[in-house]
Amino acid sequence: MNPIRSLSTSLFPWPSLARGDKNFLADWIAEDTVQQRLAFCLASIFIGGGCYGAAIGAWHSLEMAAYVAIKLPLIIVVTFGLNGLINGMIATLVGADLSLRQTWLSILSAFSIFSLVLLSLSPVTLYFTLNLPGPDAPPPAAAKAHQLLLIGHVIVLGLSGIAAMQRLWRLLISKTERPFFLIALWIFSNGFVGAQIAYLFRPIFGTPGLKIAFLRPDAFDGNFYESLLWAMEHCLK
Amino acid sequence: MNESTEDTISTPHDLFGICEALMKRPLALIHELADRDLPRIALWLMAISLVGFAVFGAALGSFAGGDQVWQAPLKVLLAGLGTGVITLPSLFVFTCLSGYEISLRQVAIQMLGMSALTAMLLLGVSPVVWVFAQSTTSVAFFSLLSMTLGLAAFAFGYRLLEKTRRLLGCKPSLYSNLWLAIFAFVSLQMMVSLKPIEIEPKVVAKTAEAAIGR
Repeated sequence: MNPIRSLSTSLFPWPSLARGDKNFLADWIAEDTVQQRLAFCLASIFIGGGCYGAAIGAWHSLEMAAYVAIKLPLIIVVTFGLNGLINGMIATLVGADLSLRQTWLSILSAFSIFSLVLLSLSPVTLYFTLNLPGPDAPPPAAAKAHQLLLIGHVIVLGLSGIAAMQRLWRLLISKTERPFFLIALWIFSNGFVGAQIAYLFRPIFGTPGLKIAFLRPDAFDGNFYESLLWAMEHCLK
Repeated sequence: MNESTEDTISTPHDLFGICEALMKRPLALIHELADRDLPRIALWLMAISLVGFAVFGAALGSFAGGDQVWQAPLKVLLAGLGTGVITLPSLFVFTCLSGYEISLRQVAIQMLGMSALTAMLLLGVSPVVWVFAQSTTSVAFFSLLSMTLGLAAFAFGYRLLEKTRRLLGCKPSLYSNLWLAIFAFVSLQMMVSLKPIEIEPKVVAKTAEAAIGR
């Protein structure tokens, strides 16, 4: 590798991370550089997640855009923090040759790829968001736009998350005999906890008619899965 | 670039040379642009894009007349270049996710090539669009005609993009198809929100009169 390319890879490792280069990833999670990499991953999450969060909140107002730009990266970081121990345990149980710190870095790397994908989709998302009827539009239009945004963002976030975790494949096949199982368990654990953290940090999309707030006063009442069950029962009635 | 193109060209220096190369040997031109730093060619390609989109827009605007004659060129320009700018980051990231080594500059050059070829073809069909704009009263027919010609021009532009990507070793993948879907959604939304064929009341009246006359 020539020196210029080497420098650009070390300064901007996002493309190499997104490609999931096996050798690059093996160097990336080497024990001696873990702290620098952690800082890079966290910065990536705040930049990428922040831009996408701003695009989500822009539907409501600039205030909401600022709130969600802060909250979306926080949701990722809190999910990572809460799941850190269990993710490490899962890796050990599956027999992966990864230390706890390497497990954290692998997952944080996946989150930073996730944030990169979100960053790249932010202009598209913002454009569509600004073209939809706003929350002040007459009731059926505002409610429909809100539902459309909700479904659209959930699909984008879900698929980006799966694509990001899948990038770890090339690294994990050299670390465990069951990489698919490990990735599936990580996707499940992070998805399960992430959905609840996002629920606690609501409003994310800003229901039309409700006041804008950083957190709802009843933030800790109920959980995502209860609400999902309620919504499903409501639909079936 | 990894492979050599099927034909080599001497670098064109003037506008006509670049237009000719874009029509006859687009792949070689983009290859040349990507391999060597040629800001002049890049600027010419950008100028071709601007002029092509603006002239096509003017032809569309002549259908409704009035303010649309100067508004439509701006709208088409904004739609064409805006779609490119909005979808450029996702093309780069999706190419990386497909596992290919590519720089943002290379992706931008590919997009520029696609945009210039599309605009060039739109420029070519503009006189035809203008003739129909002057002689047709049916909004549906004119919209269908413009859309068909626009799609045909885009198909050639996209084909060039795919070819330049293949030259770099990037094969079509799920991500490239996903990007194409995003591009299509954004450009359609651009057309819906900017309405380059906005119909003014007098045109509606003209259409109604023509229908009654029949």
